[in-house]
Amino acid sequence: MAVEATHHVAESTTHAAEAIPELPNLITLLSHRWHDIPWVAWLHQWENIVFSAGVALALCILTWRYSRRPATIPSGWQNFLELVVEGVDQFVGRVIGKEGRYFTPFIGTLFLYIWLMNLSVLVPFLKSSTSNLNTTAALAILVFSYVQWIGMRRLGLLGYLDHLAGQPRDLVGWLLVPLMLPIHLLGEFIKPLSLSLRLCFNVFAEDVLLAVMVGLGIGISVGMHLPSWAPVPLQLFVIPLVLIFSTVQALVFSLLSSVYIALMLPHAEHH
Amino acid sequence: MLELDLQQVVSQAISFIVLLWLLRRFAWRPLLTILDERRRHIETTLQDVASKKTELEQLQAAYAQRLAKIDDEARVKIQQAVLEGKRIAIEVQEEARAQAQVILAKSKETVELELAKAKVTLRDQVADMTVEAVERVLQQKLDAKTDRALVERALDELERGRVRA
Repeated sequence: MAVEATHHVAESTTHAAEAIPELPNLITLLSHRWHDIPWVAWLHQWENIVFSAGVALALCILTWRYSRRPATIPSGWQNFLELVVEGVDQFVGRVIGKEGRYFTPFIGTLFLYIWLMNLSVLVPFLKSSTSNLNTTAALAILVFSYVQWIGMRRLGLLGYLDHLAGQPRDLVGWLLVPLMLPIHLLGEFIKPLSLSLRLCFNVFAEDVLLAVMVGLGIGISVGMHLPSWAPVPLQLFVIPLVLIFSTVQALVFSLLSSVYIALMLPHAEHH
Repeated sequence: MLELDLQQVVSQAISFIVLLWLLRRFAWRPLLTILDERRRHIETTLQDVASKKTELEQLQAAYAQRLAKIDDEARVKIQQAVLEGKRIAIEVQEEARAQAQVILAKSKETVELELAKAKVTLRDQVADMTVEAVERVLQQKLDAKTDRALVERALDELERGRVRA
C-alpha cells in the first residue's frame, strides 16, 4: 500500500515537473528530433554546461577582443567594458574596502557570468543555465570555498577557528563556544545553500513566466484563428522584467559574495 | 531542475575557474591597469593645469605690477624731461640774454667809437670850414699849420665850455 502511494506521489511529481512550461532551446529541439543519436543525447544531458560554456566563451572573446590592446581614449565596446569593470571595482571597493581591488576579478567575473547566463534566455533557442541548480550550486560552492580559503589565509588557522568560535575573549565567550561554533558553522554552510537556491529559483521563475507568456500568446492566436506564424507576442511585456530581475539577481549574488568575503577579512567587525 | 549531479557541479566549477583565470589574466588586469593609468593621467593633468593656472595668475600679477611700474617710471621720466626742458629753456634764455647784453655792449662801444670818429671828423671839417671862412673874411692867408692850431684850440675851448655847461 505504502509502496503504491509512494509510486503515485513520485508519478504525480514527475507529471508536475513535466507540466512546468519551458521555452525550447536548440538542444531540446535537436533532442526531440534525433533523440536516439548518442551525441544529441549527450548534449541534452549536458545542456546546462554547454550553454554556460557558450556564455563563458562569448565573454572570453568579447573581453579579449576589447582588452587586448586597450586604447587610452576608449570608444564603442571598450567604453561599455570599462564602464562594467569600473562599476564592479567601485562596487567591490565599497563593500570590502581598500582591499577590494584584489577581489574585483573574482566578483566581477561572477557578476558577468551570472548576468549573461540569466539574460541568455532572451536570445531565441538559448537557455539560462542559472535556472539549473547544478550551475548555481557550483558557483555557490566556489564562493564558499574561496571565502573559507581567504579566511584561513588572512586570519591563519587559529584565527580562522577563533572566528568560527565567535572570537571568545572572556569566560562568557568561552562558555558560549559550544553554542557559537555550531551556529557559525551552520551559517557558513547555509550561505552557499541560500545563494544557490535564491538564484536558481528566481531565474527559473523568470524562465517559466516567459514560457507561460509565449504559450498564452500562442493560445490566444489559435483562439482568434490567426495564422500559426503570427502569435500574439505577450512575452514582450515580461522581457523588461526579465532584464531587471536578471541584473538584480546577478547583483545580489555578487553583493552577497562580497559581503561574505568582507566578513571573513581580519578588519571586519561583524559581532 | 532540483536534481544535483556531482559531475555537472564539478564541470560547472571547473568551467568557472577556467573563465576566472582567463578573464583575470586577459581582461581584468589590463582594463584595471589602463583605468588606473588614465585616472593617474587625468589627476596629473588636472594638477598641471591648476599649477599652470596659478603660475599664469602670478605672471599676470607680475606683468600688471611691471606695467604699473613702467607707467610710474614713464611719468617720472616725462616730469624729469619737462623739468629738464624748462631748465634748458631758462639756460637758453639766460644765455641769449647774456649774448644780447654782450652784443648790446659791443654795439654801444661801436656806436660810441663811431660817434667819437664822427665827432673827430666833424671837428676836422668844422675846423677846415672855419679856416676857410676866416681866410675869406680876413683875406689874409695864414699858413695852414698855424691856422689849424688856432682852430683846434678854439674848438677845444669850445668843447670844454660845453662840457662844463
